[in-house]
Amino acid sequence: MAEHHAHAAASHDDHDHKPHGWRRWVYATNHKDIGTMYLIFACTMFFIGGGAAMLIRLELFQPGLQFLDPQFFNSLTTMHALIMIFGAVMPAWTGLANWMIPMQVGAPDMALPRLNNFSFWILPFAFTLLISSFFVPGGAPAGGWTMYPPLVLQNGASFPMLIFSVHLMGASSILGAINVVVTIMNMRAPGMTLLRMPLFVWTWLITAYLLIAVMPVLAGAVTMLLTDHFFGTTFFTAAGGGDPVMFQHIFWFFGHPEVYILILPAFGIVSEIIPTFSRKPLFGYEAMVYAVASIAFLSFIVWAHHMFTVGMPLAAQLFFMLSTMLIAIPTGVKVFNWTATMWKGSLSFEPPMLFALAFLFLFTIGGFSGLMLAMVPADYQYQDTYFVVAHFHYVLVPGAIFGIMAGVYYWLPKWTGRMYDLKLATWHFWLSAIFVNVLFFPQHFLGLAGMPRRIPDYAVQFTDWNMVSSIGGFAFGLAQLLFPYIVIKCIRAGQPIGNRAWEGAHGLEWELPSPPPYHSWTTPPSAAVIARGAAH
Amino acid sequence: MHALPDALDEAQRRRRVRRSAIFFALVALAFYVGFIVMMVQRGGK
Repeated sequence: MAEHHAHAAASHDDHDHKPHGWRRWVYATNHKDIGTMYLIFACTMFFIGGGAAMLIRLELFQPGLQFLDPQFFNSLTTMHALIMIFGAVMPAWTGLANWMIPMQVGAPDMALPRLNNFSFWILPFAFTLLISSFFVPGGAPAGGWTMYPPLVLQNGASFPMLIFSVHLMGASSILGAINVVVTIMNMRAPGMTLLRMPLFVWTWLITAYLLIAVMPVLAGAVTMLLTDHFFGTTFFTAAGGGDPVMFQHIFWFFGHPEVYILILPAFGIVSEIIPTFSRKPLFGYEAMVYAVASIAFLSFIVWAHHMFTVGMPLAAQLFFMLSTMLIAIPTGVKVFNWTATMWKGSLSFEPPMLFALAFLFLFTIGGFSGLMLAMVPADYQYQDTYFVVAHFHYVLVPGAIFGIMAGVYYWLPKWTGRMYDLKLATWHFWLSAIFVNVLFFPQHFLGLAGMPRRIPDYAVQFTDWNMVSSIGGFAFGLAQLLFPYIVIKCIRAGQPIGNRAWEGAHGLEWELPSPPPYHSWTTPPSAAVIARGAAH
Repeated sequence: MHALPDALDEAQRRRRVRRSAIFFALVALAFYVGFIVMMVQRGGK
């Protein structure tokens, strides 16, 4: 049956109006082409943002000022964050969404293909603008990615470039999110009910709602910064009756859901990979869906835990502390269910599973340090130290980045029709998993010992752990060069594989040929195929 | 884009896609304008 549908889809070559040359990419409306462009863009930004990180770790290898001017160091920390968050992780998720959602819900393409093209092509302009701010008088933004006033208002010529590029990134994200929601709500094949959808689709649906709700809030905040700077308003200027702390409230009303925007799709990918390599259905599918929805809801009512030290009423501190701790419950449900899925499973440890397991262990460490930071009296000690840096890097690197790696290694054989070098990918995993801990674990000790973040110099007692962290950073960075090599080698010379690249894989994407036809499901999958694919 | 043989015909589906896209765009616009208006009102007090 699967073969029948696969052939039916493949035989629709009369719909295969694939343009060639540069037109295929500039005018792209095909979800796979746009997905590929998003992934290439994200990978490029990952290495640019990673280059900034290498320079940061180089300067921090020893105390004293070695290589970088302090202002440039501050620009690097600011730009590293902006590039990694908005340029690497978010576009990588959108790329994976573009590739996988139509295939997983039984649709031929995304619902709004031209909007999809527009969403993507905004990004290169936004990031060219942002990165070119390194070359204007005063240098790139240096006040931190959080753009807190009044510091951000003191930026030189880079300020309007920062604001405009953030607006562009926001517009791109909102348009992409609208496309995802509209596709999932309107383009599912008959029989693909909401509770039959793969977890990756579910997590992206919830992520897209978060994006639609919070990206405009960020846009509003930076618009007000712009008018404060150029048009004489005083939204956040105390001298004119404004309130700089209000910016922090608005920013984190966006910023905390943003953390879940970066991580929820990883939950979805891990929820697909663990059952595949355990050869068992996902334990507690519906509980997983409700847990993701609960996490998304809670993410709207915890924002002030990022700013406990601004001086808040005690009741507010208690509310934000307790609401933050509540997130541990649905997250615990998910970790329990992933573990229960593996219980008595027939496990194998191919690269996607290795990355998913590392995610499970290391993201949980990031979650635990998050609980520590949620406690108000403890947070007063941790605020603005390297402990915070360690915490969010555990969430975002072995969390979001490993989730992306796991997803690419899981679906790459489907996209290309070829199997990549498993041995090399396993090397990539072990080098990444070892050195990500060498890089970030010592930063917990540094933070607890009182080392502040966002400084190019530090007291000598912090030297040893900084050296260890920098060595881990350089090794982790070098190990990532394996990733594009493995992908390119796979595209050029990988062994051809069948429809179902992994023995235990379920889902509609595995019913299509590898590589899939230009339009994914021109004939909708039958009820039997959907039922087989949805065997959670 | 090809119609899936569902209860929805292609024209209906296109209408639904357009309606829901416009709806979510308006939601996003409302959040954007809403937060700025909220701040303007707060400043006026």
